[in-house]
Amino acid sequence: MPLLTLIIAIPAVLGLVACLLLPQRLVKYGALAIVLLDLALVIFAAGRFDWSGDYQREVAAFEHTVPSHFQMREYVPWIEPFRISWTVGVDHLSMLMILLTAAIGVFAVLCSWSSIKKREKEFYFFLLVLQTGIMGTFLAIDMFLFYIFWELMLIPLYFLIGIWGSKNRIFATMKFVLYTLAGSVLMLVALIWMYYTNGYYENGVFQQVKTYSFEVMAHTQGEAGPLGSFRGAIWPFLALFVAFAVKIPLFPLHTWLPDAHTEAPTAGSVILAGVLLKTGGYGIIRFCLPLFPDVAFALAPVCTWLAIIAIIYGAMTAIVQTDVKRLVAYSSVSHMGFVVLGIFSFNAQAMSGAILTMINHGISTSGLFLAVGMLYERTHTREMSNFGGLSRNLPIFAALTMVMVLSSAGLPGLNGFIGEFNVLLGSMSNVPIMIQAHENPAGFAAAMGMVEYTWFIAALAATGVILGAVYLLIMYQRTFFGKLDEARNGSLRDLVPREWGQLAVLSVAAVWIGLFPRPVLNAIQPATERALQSVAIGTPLAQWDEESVTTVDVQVEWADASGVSKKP
Amino acid sequence: MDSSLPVQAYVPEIHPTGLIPFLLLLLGGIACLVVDAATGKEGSRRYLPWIAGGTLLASITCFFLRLVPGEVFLEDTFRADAFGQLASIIILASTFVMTTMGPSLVRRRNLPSGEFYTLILFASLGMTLLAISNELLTAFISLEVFALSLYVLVGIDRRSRKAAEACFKYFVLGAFASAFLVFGIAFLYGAAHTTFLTEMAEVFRQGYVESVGPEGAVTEIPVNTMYVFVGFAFMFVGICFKLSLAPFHMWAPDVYQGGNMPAVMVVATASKVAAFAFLVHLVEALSYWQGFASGAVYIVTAVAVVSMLWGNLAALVQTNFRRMMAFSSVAHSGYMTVGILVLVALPGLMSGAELEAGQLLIRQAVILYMAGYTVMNILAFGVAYYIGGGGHMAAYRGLVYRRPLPAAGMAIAMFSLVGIGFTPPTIGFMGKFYIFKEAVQVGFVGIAVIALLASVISAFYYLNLVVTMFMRAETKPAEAPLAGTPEAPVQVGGELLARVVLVTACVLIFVFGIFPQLFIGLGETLVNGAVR
Repeated sequence: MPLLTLIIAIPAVLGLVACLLLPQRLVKYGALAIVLLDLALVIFAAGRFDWSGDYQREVAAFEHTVPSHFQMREYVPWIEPFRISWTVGVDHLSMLMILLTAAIGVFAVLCSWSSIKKREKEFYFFLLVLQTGIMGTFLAIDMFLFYIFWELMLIPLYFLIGIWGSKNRIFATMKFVLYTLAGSVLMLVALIWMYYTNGYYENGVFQQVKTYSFEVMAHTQGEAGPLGSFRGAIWPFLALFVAFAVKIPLFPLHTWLPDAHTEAPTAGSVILAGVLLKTGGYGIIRFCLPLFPDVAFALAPVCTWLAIIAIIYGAMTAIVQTDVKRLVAYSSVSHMGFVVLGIFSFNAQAMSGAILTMINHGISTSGLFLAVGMLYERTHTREMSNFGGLSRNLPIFAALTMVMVLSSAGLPGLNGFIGEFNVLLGSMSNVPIMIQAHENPAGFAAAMGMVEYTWFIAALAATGVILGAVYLLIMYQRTFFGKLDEARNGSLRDLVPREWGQLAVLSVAAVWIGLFPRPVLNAIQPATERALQSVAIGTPLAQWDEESVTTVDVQVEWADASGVSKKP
Repeated sequence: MDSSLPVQAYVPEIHPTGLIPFLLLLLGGIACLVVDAATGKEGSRRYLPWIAGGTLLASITCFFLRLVPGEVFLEDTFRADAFGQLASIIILASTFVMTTMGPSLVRRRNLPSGEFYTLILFASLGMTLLAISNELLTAFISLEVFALSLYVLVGIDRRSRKAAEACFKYFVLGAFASAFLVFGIAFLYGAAHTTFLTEMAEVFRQGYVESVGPEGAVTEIPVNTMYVFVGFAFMFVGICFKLSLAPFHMWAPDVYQGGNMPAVMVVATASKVAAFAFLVHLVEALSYWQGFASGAVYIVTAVAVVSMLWGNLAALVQTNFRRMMAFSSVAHSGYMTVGILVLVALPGLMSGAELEAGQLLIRQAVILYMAGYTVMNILAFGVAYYIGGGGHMAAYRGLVYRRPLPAAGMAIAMFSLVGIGFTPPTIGFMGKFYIFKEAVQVGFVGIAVIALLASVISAFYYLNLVVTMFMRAETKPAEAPLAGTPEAPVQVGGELLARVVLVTACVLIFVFGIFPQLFIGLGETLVNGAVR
């Protein structure tokens, strides 16, 4: 059974069928059934998934045969002259991401239940197509296919924001589209460029390996091919990185996010924050690190600084927001900064922290956007000054939102803390990596004065956590505590079961990950190791024989265990 | 063509069946004239669409029956390779769509139907012959045949001032371009002593012309570089006018705005496909001249880059749908010219079988792009025509609330026109991918980047139309501008054939977008007869 293809195709295909066949008032039930079916399939796939982390087998991609760790792989040649194929597969990272996507997809439908009143058919159709695009992005192994799904995510969101958004929606949707489009067209040139330059030297003769397959490229690129050298790899790396950085969004490419978030309907915001931003982090871990380890090393200090700026700048901007939704949007900038910081710290702790932060952010920020959406549905305003004292007649709402706020602020015992703490700890102990970057011919690290100051970086990032508590608690206080000054807020009704059910599920997830993070961390562990194996020690994947894998393991363990930094 | 022998056995290569589709067009045109004269106004309005449409379909069928040989025929005058045959089919399909629009246009604007359908068929004849011509004078005559037909078709609505203006501008600048073209042909003949493109390629490859003296003495006259470049430059300028490539695009906005929509659609699609097919054959022949690339690359790059940037930037500020489409077509011609650029540079990089394979890939990329461009424009203009939208953006406000399916069709066309980046499984994307892939392969990464960034600019105005249709509230009919004037929107729609045509266009956008090799395989099948 082509399980992954079904997971990708079901939302869009059944969504189209449902919209054509079902009457207007039943469409939302159809949409709910479809996302639940998709969730069931994803959970079924997760059950069949080999979580141990040592799955590997020989696979074919056109004329090449390479070892691959992707499970449930499906391979169908598509445009054969150019070696483009429908290749989908799942590993630990993408499995976690599709679980998140399928779950958030259910919330997206549920939160639109009563808030979307015009043109429901089209709304749910676009929502489901969006889910197809995101699933495909996470599951595609063929990089051309990845690009196609990457771009497919744009159209539905363009309509979702543009048609069902609030007042300033057209400006926001155009800004969103042009930003992401400009960011990602260069990715296509980079992919084509990589297709033609990929290869390795054998006995001094260049062997061209034309491929769009990630597996093949990761294994054939070697240390000596044009893409293996710094000069050959810097441009494709930048093209891919910029595309991903726009999605994350990394400072200074983040300005589309507050507008898009603020104007989007609740479901759009939830998917945008919960899943879409993760495609950026996913792309960096999946493609940028394994394919261009040298460049990733050399530019790590730059990326780290950008992440620090994003963390602090995002948080400080969030403090001064008066629009609740905008505040949560800026908090996303800050939180996703932690993801980038964790990725570019290149050690196991920070990397697993980064992946966990992606999941956590998916839970807590989705929860916050759900809460803001429920609030907006009742009051038709998002201005903080219009609220206050809401906890009196909305006690359930206040309590559940409290969990989300604290989870987002990183309170120990809740999920946010685990992820961000790991990132901070990891970034503090990333000295050996920075030394390696220092020895890199590009020498960016030295210029940035990074080697001696990793504690400083961690300290700066930690400021972001404190600021996070500031803006989130201020928001909570102004909204739920204090006097109930607005008379019309006195008559608001509390949450209905459908609403508190959503927040409750997310709260349970937040508490569960916060108290028992081991299962999730165990699931993340192989993804972390793989990302670091391909990059951290500078070992190209081509040399993945038994020997180098063991040395890599030793070093990863070392990086994991080291509280104190020392030279390798 | 071994001219070293003083006396050559003359074996005519006629392949008479190859002429059938073209003779059909000619006969169909004449039949239209006769029937128009024989029956009255109402009779001709009733019968001529069937004759014209039937002729076009029959002509397309001839290609599918493989009556046209996939090589040079009629003594080298025509070369119907896979590229030329697919181009012909695209052209005929486009003019067929125009005939389907014909009846409503003729009725609405009270046009003379005899001239209308006859000229469509003659224009198709000229365009298809240009697309497969292998000889410069034949090409020139074919070009004049279709150009003159199109001048008249654009201005056939004599009661419209705008149409007269459009017709006049198109004619004057077109005549100007023809002069350039003839001048260039003369120079190329001077350089190569032949007007046949295949022979010309041979001459340029060896670098000299063999001249046979009175006693059979053979002298070798070296090719004059100056003549080649001047000849190419003049011909290129002439073709640039036809393709509305910047800076020779000045006629396009006015013609697109003033002409009747069906004629504009053919000007935008079929005439460009024909001119482009000829340009591909011409450049392929010239590119064998050693050192041709060193000069021509600059000319072609300049034209391509300026067209892409200027077309898209100018389209940004248009407030009229037709003018916007005119500038968008300037930009699209620019993208296609990137393919020409690769063709120019290719012989400098490879040779022999590799070169032929490379040229084949480029021809496939260009034809895929042209097919996509044609389908998208047919869809866009077709929807605009059938909803009676015309040029005014106001007519599209909130269209989705009134006519959801045409609005969806227009949105698909717009997404596909954006092409790169935004709308993967559409033919607009695949066409661009095929062309830019070749550009990157031969090292024109910078050009590819410029082209893609230009596409991002284009996303703004294409999506602006989608915004207008989907995201803005509908204007009340009373507020509609120009109500009561001849330019006011008139609803046509509701015709079954129109729906079939537009739905087919929608389907093709996705089918060829998801399986582009199907289309390319079709060309191979037509030529080789081998089903892939």
